[in-house]
Amino acid sequence: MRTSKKWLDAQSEHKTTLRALPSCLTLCDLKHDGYHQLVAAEFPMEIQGKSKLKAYKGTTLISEQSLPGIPTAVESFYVDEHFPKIPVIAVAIGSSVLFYRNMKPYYKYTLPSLPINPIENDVWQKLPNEKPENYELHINQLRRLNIGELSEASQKLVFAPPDDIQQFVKDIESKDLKRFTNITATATIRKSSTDTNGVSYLILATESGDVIFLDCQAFTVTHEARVCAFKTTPSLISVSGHFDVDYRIVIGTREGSICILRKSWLEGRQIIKLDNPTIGLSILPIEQTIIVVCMNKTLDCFSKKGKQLWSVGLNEPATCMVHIILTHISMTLICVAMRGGLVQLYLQKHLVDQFTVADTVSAMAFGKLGQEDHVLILVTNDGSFIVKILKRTAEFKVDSNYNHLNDGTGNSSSKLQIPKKSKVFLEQTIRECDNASAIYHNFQTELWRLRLTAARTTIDTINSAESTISGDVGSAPIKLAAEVLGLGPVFRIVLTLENMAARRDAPHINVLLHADDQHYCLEKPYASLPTLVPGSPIKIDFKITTLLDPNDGLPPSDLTPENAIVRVMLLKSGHAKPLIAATIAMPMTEPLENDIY
Amino acid sequence: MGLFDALAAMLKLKKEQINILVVGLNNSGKSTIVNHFKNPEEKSLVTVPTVGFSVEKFQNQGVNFTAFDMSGAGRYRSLWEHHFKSSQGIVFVIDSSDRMRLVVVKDELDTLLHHPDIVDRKVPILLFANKMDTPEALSSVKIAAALGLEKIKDKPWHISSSNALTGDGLQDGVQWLVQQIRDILTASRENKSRK
Repeated sequence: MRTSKKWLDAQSEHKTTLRALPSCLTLCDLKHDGYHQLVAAEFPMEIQGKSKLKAYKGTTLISEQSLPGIPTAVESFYVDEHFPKIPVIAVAIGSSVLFYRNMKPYYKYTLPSLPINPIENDVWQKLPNEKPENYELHINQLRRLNIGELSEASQKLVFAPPDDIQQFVKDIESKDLKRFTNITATATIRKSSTDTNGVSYLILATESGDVIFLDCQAFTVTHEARVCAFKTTPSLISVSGHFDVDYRIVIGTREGSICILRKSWLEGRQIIKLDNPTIGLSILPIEQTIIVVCMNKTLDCFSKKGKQLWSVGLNEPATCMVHIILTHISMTLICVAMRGGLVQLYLQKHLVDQFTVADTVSAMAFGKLGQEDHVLILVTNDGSFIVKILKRTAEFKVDSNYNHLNDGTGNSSSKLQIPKKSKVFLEQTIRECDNASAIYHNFQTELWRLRLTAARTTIDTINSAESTISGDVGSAPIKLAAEVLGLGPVFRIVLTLENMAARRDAPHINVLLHADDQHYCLEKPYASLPTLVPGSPIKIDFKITTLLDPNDGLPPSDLTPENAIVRVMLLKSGHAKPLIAATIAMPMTEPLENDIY
Repeated sequence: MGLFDALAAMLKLKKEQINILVVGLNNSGKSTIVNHFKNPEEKSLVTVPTVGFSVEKFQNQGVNFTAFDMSGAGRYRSLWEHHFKSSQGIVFVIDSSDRMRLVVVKDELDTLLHHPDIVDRKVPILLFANKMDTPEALSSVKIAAALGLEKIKDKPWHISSSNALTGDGLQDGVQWLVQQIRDILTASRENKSRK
């Protein structure tokens, strides 16, 4: 039997027999005294038994009353802003909702009637005037219709023993035909206030696949939508957001699909189709992800678009799930109860805490109870009622030991981010499949050609020494950098020479500048340099003048930007080939305007 | 020790300040208890939930008390430990009608007793089983058993049922607390003079 140090076991009364489903527990400040109470709708033990609506203060029963049918769900919410704020308890039974205030019934809302099949209507109009001998004919007509789409009266008529038919028809004839659907799931949505006790609307999901938003102050339907385009039966519902602002409603159906319904949509959209029935469903308010617990022992997380984000295997089949919002440590945990009494808490896909209780948990609720803010209420199959209080100092950390356990069960794999396959990509793939060998040969040919071109250029560069770094093997590499100063006609070329070798000297270096003597005049085109020592660059400058026409002060007409170049040659004494032969592109000379001076 | 000595000791005490720390869960009646000891003209008529803490001064049994009335709300309980060092006595208030939260009381009491500033000191602890007038109130004996008070061996403790609204049982408890603090002070003074 595992226990957890993070939870305190409040005095639990094992004698309390409470049998409840997960949707039939709600916590609320029933009397506006700051003392939150648990309200539970209990289903009867045997078929003749009465269901009961019970209210607990702490763990002691303070109020109990009988319900007229088997409850589907219980909700507690506020319908108005009047002071003192007394919550309303809504109990969904069959096709109607019973509203309680101060634990006293005060309103009953019944769903609007569904359309009646015209054939059925026709039959019922004829029946009272028919002779009893012809009844069978009409009843057969009803039998041909889908039994699920008949009104309650017709369903009874179809299965009534022949002797009772006459009496039955007489009883019914005065009443109108009505066909009601059942409420299968409920939820509440706050209108606009973020306050926990803000005004809320009641959401009713029906067996026929409708979602009804009910304003419980005037009992009017404020919005109506379909769960999905095709016929599905909602079974679970989870809400995030506000009615007036924006909201998302996630609906789990009996058929295994998960649908999403957003503000102002008239029809939900199926986002996930699961193979297994869902046990629990929840859209987390902060993360905005959808958590689903399935019967196949998995806990899955989906994005709002239906993409699976992660999946964790569970050791035992789950029985119910509740999400735990801990604002003081800004965390949202998922609490899953499993067959055998194991209860596990997950922070995303990481197991952070677990404990066991004496019997399989049938229903859970988390919230305020009494004066305490973080209380987990567990109702087990044998009817015991366990209250666990979260310790003030409890922290939930991802523990590697726990996650170790998870890896064994398996499919908790993270998915890689792969971009979508575009049309171009697909076409290319097809081409590659068809002409694999041709494409390969083409590629190889081009590759060799590229290599050849690269090699040729390299050889050319080495031979012509047209580079800024000398590449001769056997001597120290020298780097040349040049800059041209001035606007013209007089320029100054500054050359920076640096020995790039680690320790070898470069002696006997000479610099020669060569330019077209029709265009430029170099005062001193040649310089002999001292030995270049590694690590200390030397600068040398040359004066160069553009030859101007003495008549109009313009540079020579055949001097164009293309041929305005000066060659720099770095020579080593005793070597015929220059070390570096670089060209300097000269800027164009500004025309000398005599007037300025 | 003669009568004169006792009187002198009392006079000495009079000059001394006694710092007490009033803790307990929210809505257990801490501020109401402190309010009861204040002068009639200083008493506040309405008690609202304390935020953080409030410092109250009052005289009782010829002793000047400085009471640190801590807030019991969950998010302020971490402030309690900052006052452990400077307090000579601890008053722990329990709502004896809140059976469900008795485990929380036990948890907080255990945390308090194991705190480094408390664990090695001989600090008298006075527990008030408050709200004894409510019909569902547990007796002080039951509360003592539920909290496992008999396990506290190294510190003097005392539990008394109280009703902070009428003041029943409060005087009794404070009398015990003053006596304990006096004893501890005398003992420490004797130790000093011996040295």
